Amino acid sequence: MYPAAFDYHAPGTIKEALQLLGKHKDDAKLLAGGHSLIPMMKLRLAQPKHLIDLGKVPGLSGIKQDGNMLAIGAMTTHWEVESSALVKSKLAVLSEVAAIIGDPAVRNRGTVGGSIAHADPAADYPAAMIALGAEMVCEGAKGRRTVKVDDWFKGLMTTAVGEDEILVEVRVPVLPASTGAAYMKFPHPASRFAVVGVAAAVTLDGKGACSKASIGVTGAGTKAVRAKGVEAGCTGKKLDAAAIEAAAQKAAEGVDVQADLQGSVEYKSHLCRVFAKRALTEAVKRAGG
Amino acid sequence: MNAVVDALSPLGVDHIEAMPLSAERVWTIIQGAKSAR
Repeated sequence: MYPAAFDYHAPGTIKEALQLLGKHKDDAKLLAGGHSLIPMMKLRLAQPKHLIDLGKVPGLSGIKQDGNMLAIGAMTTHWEVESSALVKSKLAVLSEVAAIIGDPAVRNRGTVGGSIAHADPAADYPAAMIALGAEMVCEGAKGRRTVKVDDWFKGLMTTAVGEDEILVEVRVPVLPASTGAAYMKFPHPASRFAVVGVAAAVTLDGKGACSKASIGVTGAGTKAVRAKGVEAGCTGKKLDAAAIEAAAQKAAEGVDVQADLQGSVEYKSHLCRVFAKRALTEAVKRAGG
Repeated sequence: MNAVVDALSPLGVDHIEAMPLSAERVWTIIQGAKSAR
């Protein structure tokens, strides 16, 4: 279907983009790749009167290291994340996550910031951002502020970004020593969205026990969440197969698992447990356990 | 269909009525067969 009529804006600076956003407020949507928004507009699930394209705003894409963080511009495409030598060497798991998003067209056009600001409940990055402890940098008329990932995802396609703000950068800590991370998902066979996806980051102490576990779950509920039960079940334990199995059993606890076309609550809860186990197993292996 | 029934036969599955055999449907059949034992 054709989208409803809209005005297209292509600001040349972030300031101009913020002015347009301030002027049109709820009537405007930011275009940051468009592989989620445009299909929604064609289905008329979204009918913004103004589309503000961030594609011509300089300085919003690229990946650089800033201390122990990777600073990823919001308009960096999934392909750029996937193929970045810096990401591969410092945070390989993020490259792996980017590589299994959608299809090549989505990865070539879709952006990190677009995905995280859109907050689709079945998107891949959100689980990884939770497990890796990312921060989102939002810019508004009054300057920039940083939001931690645990305060970011508010609900179905809802985040902490203000209506007059733009997500400009995602900051992801590089993996500390003795830490392994992995992302495992059950992809929808057609869309490659995560029916359920689990990201795990595990830090081992000198004796091989888990000193920190950070687990993000996507796909199961209305938003990506932290699997606190699994984290508690891992911390302090030597993560052999039995301990991982026991911890993974808690993967659906505290998740508002939603039945949908991809499966019942019971089936998706089961997938949470299975993919938590797989992600944990791989993360522990990579941590040297 | 026959291949899946064959694969699940150790669980006592001897026929499957509904198609398509989505992952969820096969999982549900396995759960049902296990709890029936």
